[in-house]
Amino acid sequence: MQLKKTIIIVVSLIFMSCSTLHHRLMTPEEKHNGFESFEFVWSTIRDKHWETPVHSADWDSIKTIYASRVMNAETREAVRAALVDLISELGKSHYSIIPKEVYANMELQTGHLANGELGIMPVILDGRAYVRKVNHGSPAEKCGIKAGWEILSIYSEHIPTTLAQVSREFANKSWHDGVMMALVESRLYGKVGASIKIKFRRKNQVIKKKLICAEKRGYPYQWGYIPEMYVWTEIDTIGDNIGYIAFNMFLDPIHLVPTLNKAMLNFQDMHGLIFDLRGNEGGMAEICMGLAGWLVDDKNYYFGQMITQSDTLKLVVNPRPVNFKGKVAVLVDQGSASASEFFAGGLQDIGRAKIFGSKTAGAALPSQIELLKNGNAFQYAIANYITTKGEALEGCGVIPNVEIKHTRETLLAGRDVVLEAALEWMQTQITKR
Amino acid sequence: MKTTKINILLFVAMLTAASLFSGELPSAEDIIAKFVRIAGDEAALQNIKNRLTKSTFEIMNQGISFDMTIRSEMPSSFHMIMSSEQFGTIEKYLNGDLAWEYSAIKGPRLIEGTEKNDLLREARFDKWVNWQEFYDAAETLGEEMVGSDACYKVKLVQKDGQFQTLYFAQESGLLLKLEAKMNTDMGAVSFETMLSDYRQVDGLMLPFKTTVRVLNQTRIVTVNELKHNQDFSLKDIETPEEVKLLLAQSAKK
Repeated sequence: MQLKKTIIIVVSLIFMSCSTLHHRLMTPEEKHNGFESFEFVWSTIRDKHWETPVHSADWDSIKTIYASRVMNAETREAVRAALVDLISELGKSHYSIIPKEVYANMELQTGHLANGELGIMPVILDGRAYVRKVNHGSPAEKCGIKAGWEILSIYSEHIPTTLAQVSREFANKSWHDGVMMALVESRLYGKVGASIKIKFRRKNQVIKKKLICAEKRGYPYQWGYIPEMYVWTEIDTIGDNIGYIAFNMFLDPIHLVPTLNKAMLNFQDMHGLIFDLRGNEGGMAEICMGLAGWLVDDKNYYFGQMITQSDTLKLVVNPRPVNFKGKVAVLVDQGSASASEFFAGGLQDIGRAKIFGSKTAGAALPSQIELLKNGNAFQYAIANYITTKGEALEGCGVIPNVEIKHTRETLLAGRDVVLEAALEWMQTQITKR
Repeated sequence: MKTTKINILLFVAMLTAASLFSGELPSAEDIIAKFVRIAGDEAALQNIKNRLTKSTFEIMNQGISFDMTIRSEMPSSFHMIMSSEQFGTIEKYLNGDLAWEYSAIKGPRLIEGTEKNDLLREARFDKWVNWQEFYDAAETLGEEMVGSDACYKVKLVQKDGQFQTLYFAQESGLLLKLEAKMNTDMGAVSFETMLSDYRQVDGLMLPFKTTVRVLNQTRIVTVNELKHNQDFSLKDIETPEEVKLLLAQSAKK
């Protein structure tokens, strides 16, 4: 009875752009498994959605339409497409169908998964993709690629055209820009040693580059049916008295948590601390709460509530015995989702941090992933999430205290205006002390 | 006067007969007493000093599992370690007034209030022998099937006013299902527990499989090893330094 351990997975944007590889006709057994998978997805949403009955769609009527599509599907991709469309009827984040191939590759360990990267961190500005940052020591840096360059094409794919299509598909969604960013990022990955041809635009000049993928930063992490992902951290100091912590996901507790804990202990005497969660797509809520425990000294704080059909549970922050007392800034952008939204929004709500950057993805629902009979996996939300102020983050996102966006010009000038704004605020606060 | 007495006797006799024919439900007290006789009474518990349980904790259909070891001592102390290579370790400790949790991810915390009370109740070896200590009232609600077993449905009201619904098998007398709310640091969580694979161990009948439905998940705890009267003492468990700091801070307040 003492075993009520909650494991809340809140990864969101990554799976939305998963694509499949093969298109062959299904065997009778595969057809049967496809239909059973459909039944499972439909009934799971009926039974486990926090609203009963599901408000956002006429769930019983929908069943007939999609059952017919699945029955008539000839390929696994057609079944998956029907399932994706079914869950899209909800209009929520954290519902996805992850293709079987992702898991097949994991099991075979054949290295088919993209274990390499170029070291380019993109940003979406007015529907177009630009280089926001080039990682130190990465293939992109070695090839002379600079922030502010527009990404025009990858292989033969014209990126502005692809982004325009995605933009139409997610037109009314708060995670619109976040999905575009995740899509561009996914195109910049490949197997280690693979070459990726990219066409950039620097001001008015088109530059063609052929880059070779190097091993991804960080550690590979896979648990349950979360597909393998690489989790990296960047810990640094800015000047003498400001700590800087960046990481891409709230995953891999075995490596990430000790790294964060060590940094928090080392930064105890700093005047300020910056968490850079731009592009951080979320992960485990536990890591979010555990990190927040370093920043508060009162046990009455919590970061909103999870609402299920039967219970309302607080995301409680347990203070660590030693707490950071200085100023805290959190940097976010459209690629900050899920757990990073809990973290930024939670600290903002209790007045512990000032948030800088652009509005977050608004993809903030606790979810879990189960394997389907046809080998795909089904990610679904298990609860609604409401902030301490009683507002839903889903579809809205965290609105920064200081909204500031990159422009192509500032990027080309080598400036990080979001970090600059946070540092300026922090220095002002430190001077006041 | 004589006629009145006869009428009363007749009335009582009719009532008795009626109740016999309608299959009147046994009292909750009798149902629990039967369970205690089968699962382990005071005499059986007298031979038990402590228990070591090694289990697998699995979240069904999600590919997630933990190894779990619980060392527990009479009357209501325990130390639990759950660990997974991908998640890390979570420890929970309860011994008299001292109760804490230490998570590799979330850090340390002291367990207090209603959450601690729940742990103290559920950890008691002799909980069912002395169940009146923990519950204010008990009532048989009716009969219901749990799988293929006809069960008596019993409602128990806890000291804090919350209630539990229990399902005892009519034939075996064993507890097969439990519905309740458990206080946690996040708030009260509803859950449904199915107890199965009962086995005889040192004069006690204990479930080796527990299936818990909670927060839209199904979690299965399968006992792999269960031994009594082992060579350990919970007093030897080292309190983590960070927990000691929290205790010192708590004492100051």
